[in-house]
Amino acid sequence: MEKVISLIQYFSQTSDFEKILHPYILKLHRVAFRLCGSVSDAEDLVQDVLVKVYPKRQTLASLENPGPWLVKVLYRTFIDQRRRMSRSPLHLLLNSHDEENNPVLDSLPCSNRGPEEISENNQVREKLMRAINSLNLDQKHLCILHDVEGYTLNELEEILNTPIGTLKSRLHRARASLRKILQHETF
Amino acid sequence: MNCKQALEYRDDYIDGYLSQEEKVAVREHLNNCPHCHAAFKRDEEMLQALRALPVPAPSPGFISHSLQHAQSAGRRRIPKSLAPLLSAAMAACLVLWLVSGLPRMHDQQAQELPSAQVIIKIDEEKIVNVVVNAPRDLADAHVTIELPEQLEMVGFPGKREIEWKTDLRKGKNLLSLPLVAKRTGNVEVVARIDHENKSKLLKLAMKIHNSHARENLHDDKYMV
Ligand SMILES: [Zn+2]
Repeated sequence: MEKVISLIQYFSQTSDFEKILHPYILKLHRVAFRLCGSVSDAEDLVQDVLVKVYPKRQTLASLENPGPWLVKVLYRTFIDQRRRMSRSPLHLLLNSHDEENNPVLDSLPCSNRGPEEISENNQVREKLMRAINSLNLDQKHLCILHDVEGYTLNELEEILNTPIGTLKSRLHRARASLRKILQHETF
Repeated sequence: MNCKQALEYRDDYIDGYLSQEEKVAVREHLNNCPHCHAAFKRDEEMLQALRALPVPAPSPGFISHSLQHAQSAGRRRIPKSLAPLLSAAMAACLVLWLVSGLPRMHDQQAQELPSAQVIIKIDEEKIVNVVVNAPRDLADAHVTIELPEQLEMVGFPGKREIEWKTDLRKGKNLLSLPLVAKRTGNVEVVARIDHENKSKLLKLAMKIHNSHARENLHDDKYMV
């Protein structure tokens, strides 16, 4: 039996890659932004992820729901980059200033609300971000992915490659810290 | 259910991880305990505020640009194990060769192509068929076509190298290349098939005429 490998297949694979990935880019960028804290770092991270998954596009096409799989690749890439960067003394130096000028807070967009409401909202957001950033890294990432981005523990077991029981107690500890930090806040 | 028990459920409750029975029990307690009710309500508000944290959009055009970049970067990539061999092959003037043999892809070490050239006229579109005889199913085989400047693949104007992945089935696989000639000359088309770390390269001699080329070569097949 002959199988025709026409270039039509090539075309369809090319567009398949875009077709499959297109709906997930914004979501990936969202998650990347939450993890990295700046739009341009998030774009770089997403770009790295896309380059990484391109050779795996057939696996991708076979997945019923590629979302969590893509976020898993993104998270791994993020962690690898962090690890590599943390070996550079220059970056460690820069990192120590993170607390004061938090890029996440600088890049929050304005909404169409009145000035009073904006400042009130921003204050709450600022406090929320500060609370999240005060968690240890594992808790922070879990809080971002679960509470902010809405992934379920079942999905995160796969994404973070960590048993669900561990994740659950980690999440509960993170929440306890958040509650403590934010106890006098009104949302 | 007392307050202590209820508060142990607070995270699973707002996350929706409780069973129906547990949920009912918690709700019952909340209806009768203003203190826990307030605590649970607060948790919900906190979670809502977290979910509502805004995200700035990526820069304009980022989506399409990043997808295109990923694809062009992906196509440029040459398997590490092949890179040195590939340049050696170029230096050796594109003679058909076999690197550590695709396992019995063919009985012989190297397979000579038919001595007859494929003849193509300028601006003529011609489908050149190459038969790839695979020894077994080869999932995710990487096919690369390298074209001389005189030739173009239909649909890929100006591209000298075209790559894609495909599954080869055991036996004969037909590779159809729609080519169009732009200039005259005696040229070679190179097709390479990589699978895992094995590779097979073949060259196909082509003669590009101004006109009056021999007809009916349309369905000739070249065995690999
Ligand atoms: Zn109570």
